[in-house]
Amino acid sequence: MKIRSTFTLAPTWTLALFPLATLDLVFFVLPMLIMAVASVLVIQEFHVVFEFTAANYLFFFKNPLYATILAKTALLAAVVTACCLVISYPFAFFLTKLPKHVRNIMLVLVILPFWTSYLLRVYAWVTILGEHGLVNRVLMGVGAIDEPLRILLYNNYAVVLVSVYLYIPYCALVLYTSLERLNPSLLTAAMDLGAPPWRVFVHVMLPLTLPGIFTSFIFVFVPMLGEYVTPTLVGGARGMLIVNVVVSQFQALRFGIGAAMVFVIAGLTMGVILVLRRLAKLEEIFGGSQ
Amino acid sequence: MKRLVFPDAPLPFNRTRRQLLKDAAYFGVAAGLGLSADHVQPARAATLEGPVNAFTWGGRIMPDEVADFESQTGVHLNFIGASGNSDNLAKVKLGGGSQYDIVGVDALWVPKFYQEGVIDVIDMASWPQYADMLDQFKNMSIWKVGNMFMAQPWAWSPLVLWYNTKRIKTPPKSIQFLWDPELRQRIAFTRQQEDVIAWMGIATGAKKPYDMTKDELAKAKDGLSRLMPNILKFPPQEEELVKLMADESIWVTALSAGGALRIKDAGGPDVQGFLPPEGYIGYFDGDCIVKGAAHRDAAVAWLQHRVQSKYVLNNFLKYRRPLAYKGPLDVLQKEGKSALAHELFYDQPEILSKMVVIGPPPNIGDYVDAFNEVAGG
Repeated sequence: MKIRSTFTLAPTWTLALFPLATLDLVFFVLPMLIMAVASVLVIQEFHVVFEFTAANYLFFFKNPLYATILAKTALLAAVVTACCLVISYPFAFFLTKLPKHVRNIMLVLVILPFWTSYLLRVYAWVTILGEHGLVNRVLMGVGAIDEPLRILLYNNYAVVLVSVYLYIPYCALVLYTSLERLNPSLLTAAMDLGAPPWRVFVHVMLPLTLPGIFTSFIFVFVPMLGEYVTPTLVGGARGMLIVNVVVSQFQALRFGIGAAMVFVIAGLTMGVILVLRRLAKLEEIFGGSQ
Repeated sequence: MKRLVFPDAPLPFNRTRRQLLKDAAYFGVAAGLGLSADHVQPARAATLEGPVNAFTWGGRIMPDEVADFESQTGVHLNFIGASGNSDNLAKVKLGGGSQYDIVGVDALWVPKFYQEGVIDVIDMASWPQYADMLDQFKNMSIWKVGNMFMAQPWAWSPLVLWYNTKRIKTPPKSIQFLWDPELRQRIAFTRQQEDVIAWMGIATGAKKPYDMTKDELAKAKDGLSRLMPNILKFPPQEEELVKLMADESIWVTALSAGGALRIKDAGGPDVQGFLPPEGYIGYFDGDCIVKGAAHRDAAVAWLQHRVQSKYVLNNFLKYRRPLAYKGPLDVLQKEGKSALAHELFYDQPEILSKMVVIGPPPNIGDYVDAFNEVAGG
């Protein structure tokens, strides 16, 4: 009986997967395959020599500059992720404590920035932090400064600030979902047993919301590694991140090196995710919930 | 289907005698009336196959001239914005003539496109508008294969170092003023790595700033390292430079001829242009016919259409950089706008031969590495 129903369902499942699988295959798997092949071939401008080489990868690893830029990018992404988590976690917890109708309004407010263009949101910060922007005008207006501050924009601090603003909604929504599912009686039970609030947080709340934290990390850290627009618009002269380097390689018609760099970044991303997954023992948490 | 004959298009042997007589009559009447190049409307009453897919720079396509072209020929013009020469080359290599009919290319990139086999030559010398072209472009040997042209020239300009006269009181005499400590974080250039390095090459005495030796490149890189404290950022677009100059976030930048007017239009301060005696970068650009273009005849008709003096003049007035055609100069003089033409170098085509022309360095990777090592370090 079971075997029959499985066979009956099989074609339906296949059909349901078809549109997504096709899109995925054509617009993700295939281009990535082409890039993977390009990264191990000798390519002189537009002329492909069908000869396998590791030179494109060695170019990256032999020049400490590129490893430094990649490390700088990863550090920036980590700082932004940490800031997003620290700000979003209490906010998401606060949301779960609100009456339902107020919570719904707050959730709409969280996703409100998505109604405007990403580019527009970044540009808005230029008008806020710029030399003649809102912050400087206010500070000068109240007499706190005599000359406009120039440290607010076109540096890595500005990149972090604007990126945190851009990614907080993703982080907050994921954490909210995780915290909303948390059984409050577990926290009450811990406190009834005499645990102080910090201990309840560290030993009960945090481990139980770890899947949400991990997902938030992926939602912020991974796109931050490939962030291009924000550093370009609000970063300074030395604000070059790894994606800028990749773009510059393609502009220099070094397709093989550019492709190799893409896979180095992808490798790093996968590595970080795997390490965190292992450290956080997510299998146990997910397994436990099942 | 009736097809209009263009000098560089294949001869349409499938034409009927009636069609040939009709065309002959049209051109005969036109010649009899003594119509100038401006009045020759290449595609009127002819049926051309379109659309024309023009993959070219912004600042090429004016709505009025497109509307006129479309009404005269019935051919739609698709404008596809181009972002950079290397990008254009890669895309045209992949898309070819089935996707693009025209591609916009800068100066020394044109021969590269030709060597890569992605563009066709054009017999522009037989076009009625040829007489209007500046002699410098007629004799542009790097763009020619025999008497044929690789590109139809369009705009040109030196890149002028514009400085804020309120903030910089002493007019600079040398490119070395860029390294003045007073200009800390007050300079910006667009993020074109090879151009930034070429500027540094000019400042450090390189003989060929777009083809530097290793030693020259090392000096240029050192120059950029020393300049970094004065650089605020490397924005990707010129428009951002205009904005930064307008709100006085920066005091010096490199923009084409109409920089001062663009900054003023954006509500900015008075700026003065400076062409360093050590040398300066400049560009000229053109539009090429893509090899195997699916709508070649219509593309040629468009190129002929848009170089009519009235359109060139409008383009000059809107985008404020000199163009490769003389016709508008007479009109500007008659209208008392000679000063504007002079300010924007339109009446000084001899500058073309003095510019260090933007081009792809043969060792472009070394230029990019030099830039990355300084800006990413």
